[in-house]
Amino acid sequence: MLQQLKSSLLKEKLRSLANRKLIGWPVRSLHSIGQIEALQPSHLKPNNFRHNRKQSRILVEFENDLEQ
Amino acid sequence: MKNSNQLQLLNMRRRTAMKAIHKKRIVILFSDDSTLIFARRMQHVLQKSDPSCTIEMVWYAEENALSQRQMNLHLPQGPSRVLSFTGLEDIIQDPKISAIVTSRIYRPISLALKEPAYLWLAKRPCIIGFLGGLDFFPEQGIAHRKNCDGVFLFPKSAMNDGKSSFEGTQNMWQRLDFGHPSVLVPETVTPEDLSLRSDIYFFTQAISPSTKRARLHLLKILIALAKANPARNVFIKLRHLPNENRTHLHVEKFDYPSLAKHLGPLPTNLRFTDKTMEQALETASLGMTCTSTAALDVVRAGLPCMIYLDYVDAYRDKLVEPMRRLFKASNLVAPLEDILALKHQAPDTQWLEDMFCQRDLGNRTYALIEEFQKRAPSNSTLSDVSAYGSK
Repeated sequence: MLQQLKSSLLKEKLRSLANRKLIGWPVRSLHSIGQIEALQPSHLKPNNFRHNRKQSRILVEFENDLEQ
Repeated sequence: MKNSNQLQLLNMRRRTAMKAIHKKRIVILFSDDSTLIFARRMQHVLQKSDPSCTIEMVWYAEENALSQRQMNLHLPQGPSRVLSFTGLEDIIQDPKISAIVTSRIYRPISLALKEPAYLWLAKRPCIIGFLGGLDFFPEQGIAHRKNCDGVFLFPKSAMNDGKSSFEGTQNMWQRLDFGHPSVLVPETVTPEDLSLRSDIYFFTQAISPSTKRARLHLLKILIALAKANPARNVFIKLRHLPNENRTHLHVEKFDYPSLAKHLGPLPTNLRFTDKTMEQALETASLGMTCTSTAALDVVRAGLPCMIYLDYVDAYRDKLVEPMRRLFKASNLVAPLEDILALKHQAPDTQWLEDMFCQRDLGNRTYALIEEFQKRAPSNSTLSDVSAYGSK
């Protein structure tokens, strides 16, 4: 509950700061950087990395078989 | 003599008017492609059960996200009526309408259903809420419909949640039933019919996969499938064209036709199509999808179905886990090796029973409406009830 309240208060503060024309730009640019797909931390988890590599490998092997 | 003729004419007019009131008149609402597809299927179900029933396909334009092409494709004859916010406020009080059937609880409806004065209004349409489709987050869907007079849910496992959501609502008369026009028990396709078909369909979803890399991975799989099966057509069935559904609840960030341009010339047997689901299922021999509930349409049509949830970046996708949970026992979730080899399995019978409803959905809907109209006691004499309409 307290955690939720804290996070929502922080969110509100950040949102109101971002809405300010002049001083809000660092928040806005940080937010847009945070949205870049390639920078998402979940891509760096070993399990996820292995998962992607496995799926790509299966497809490449199938494509190679087709060409032969 | 003249007086008796006048009296006869008067009586005849009254009888005709009474007949018109007692004749079932049902409104089905829609505002975008998902709700329109539901509306068309529900219209079909209701008309099949009672061809004499008047069904109005009503377009709620206040939340419109339909293009002209989508309207022509799904409802070429056009809507019966187009309503604004106040228009919808008016028809939900119209005593000449038996029921309003909707797969989305629009704001005027949800506001009215919170008012005891509206709920206790004796002669008003029965508000029946269906789920939009297979709901990945059923708690939310049930909560939106908890004040409706009639609620239809699926799968069967969601019924208990539905029952408990009714507790504490102000609606004195509520009924809960199982079903949806998109999950009627599957048809049977004969092996002979299946052997005449060869098309493979991939059914896309607007927001999932969520990353560009995942979508490119899927496109590469489909290209490989097309190359491996040169005698068969592989269709990528688009939910909408790249420039459509910009105001839809789910906006597609990376559309497949644009991404395909990055992959060079496509095999000639790999094509994009914007056919309706019904048209696609007429010629499909196999349906594939990731997180689209189109999987249910494929199963309903009695066709082999494969669901691929292990795509690249699947961990970034919020819909993967709910989809996996709902289809866990279905036998339909397949690894990439099976997808590429087109090695499909028949759906699990127990799962089918939990997910699909009997084809008497139309009769059950009419029964619910009749029961609603007979509900007692009638509270139309309450002063606050008569005041509702004048708000």
